[in-house]
Amino acid sequence: MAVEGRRWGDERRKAADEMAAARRAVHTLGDAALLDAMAADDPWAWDEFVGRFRALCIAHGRPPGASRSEWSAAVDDVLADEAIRLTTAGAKRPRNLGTYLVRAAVNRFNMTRRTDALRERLRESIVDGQAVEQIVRGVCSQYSLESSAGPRGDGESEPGGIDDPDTALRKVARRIAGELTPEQRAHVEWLAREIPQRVIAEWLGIEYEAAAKRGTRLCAGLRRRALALIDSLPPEERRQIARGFVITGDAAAPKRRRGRNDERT
Amino acid sequence: MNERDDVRHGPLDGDADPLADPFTRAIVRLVGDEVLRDPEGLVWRDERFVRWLAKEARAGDRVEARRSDVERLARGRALMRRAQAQRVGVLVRERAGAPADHPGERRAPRFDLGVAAGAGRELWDQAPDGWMEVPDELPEGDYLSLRVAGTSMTPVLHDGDTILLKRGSEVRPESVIVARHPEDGYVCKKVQRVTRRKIELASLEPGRPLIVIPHDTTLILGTVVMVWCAHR
Repeated sequence: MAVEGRRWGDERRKAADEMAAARRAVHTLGDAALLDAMAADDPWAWDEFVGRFRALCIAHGRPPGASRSEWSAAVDDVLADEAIRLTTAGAKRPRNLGTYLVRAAVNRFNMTRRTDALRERLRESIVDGQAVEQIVRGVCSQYSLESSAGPRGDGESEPGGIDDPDTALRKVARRIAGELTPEQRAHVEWLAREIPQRVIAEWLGIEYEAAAKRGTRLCAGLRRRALALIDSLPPEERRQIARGFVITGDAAAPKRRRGRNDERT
Repeated sequence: MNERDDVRHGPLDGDADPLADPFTRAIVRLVGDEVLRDPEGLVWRDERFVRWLAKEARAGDRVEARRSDVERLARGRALMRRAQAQRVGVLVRERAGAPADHPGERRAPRFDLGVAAGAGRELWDQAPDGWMEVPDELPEGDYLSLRVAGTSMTPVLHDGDTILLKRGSEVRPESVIVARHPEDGYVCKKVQRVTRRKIELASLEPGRPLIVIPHDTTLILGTVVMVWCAHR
């Protein structure tokens, strides 16, 4: 009995090892090779496709106003449909698969939203209650209409209220982003993602020290420009930003909770 | 953008970490967010960067990290199955159980194919077991719902799945049809080849023999367009 138990354990271990090896093998494939393995009906390759691209789409494609559940559903649909399409014989394959899938998910989401909105408008135009809705709106205050509208989707809060310090700062950031050259935009993005300097140097095709210096100058320039733009904002927006940051001289620190002995600048 | 030294903020220090300052770090992050926000933007054309983003996102995905090898293999197989179904023109819908009877506008009678199969029996000899709602996404036409008996069409159709047939005698290669075999009763198979005199039908499960029936339109019940499946 003990011998049989050991044999059973060995077999299970062997099966688990084989599974892990099969999974590791597809993990190292490039995107084109991965699609080839999927076309050859390797189930590990199909799973790798989802594992490789789902998190990217979820994290970096979500359009403004999309709830997490809506976006997640759109991404899952697109990944399944594109996996099927890209493995069909003769299908044209994109060069940059990750970017292609993010864009496809955004387009799918926007199309679904447009279709749903059109369907809703058509439905409302048919339903007789439209006249009643107009009468109700006419006698209610804006506040009562908004507060009776109920919570949004999956409980996410409305973006950028008047007191959200990020709103004013985001406007500044948006303006700065529009002023950058394409090379500067790419470099800022790499810094924002905390990509190591040696990798940035490799991508730029320059020495480490040169890349580090370029990064420092770029960040200093962004800071100067941000401060100049903040100076030109209306007082209310400057106050919003000041609530989030205490900027003194060269240093800027996130706002701490005020204690008895704290001094404000 | 002017990158010269600014008196107010002191000289540049090339050795300092540019992101050590929290305000600068916040600005860099926000500008980075704005740059990344548009998937049509130029930064998305950099393959190296997109691969980096994908790797970083995957590493941060705790749900994905907790998935076992068994779950991953099942997910891969489920997606593959959907692909195989689409290649033969069948839409797959996954449900926890059999579709509920619904007295909507578009309905299809439901029969248990396992019960109806057998030499000499006509499908219409028995009353339907119920009614199925025909989804809006399907075009107009006559539909019929059957329960699958047998495993010859795995992985697309499993024993116990409910399929929706569009009635009609049209036969296209690579589609899945339900036809009446003169000896075996009703069979659900993929159309392999169509000639003037005969139709060759194949199973999706490997190792099964071809079935040949006369090319007679009265023998064709319809084409499978959808399957509701409780399997994962």
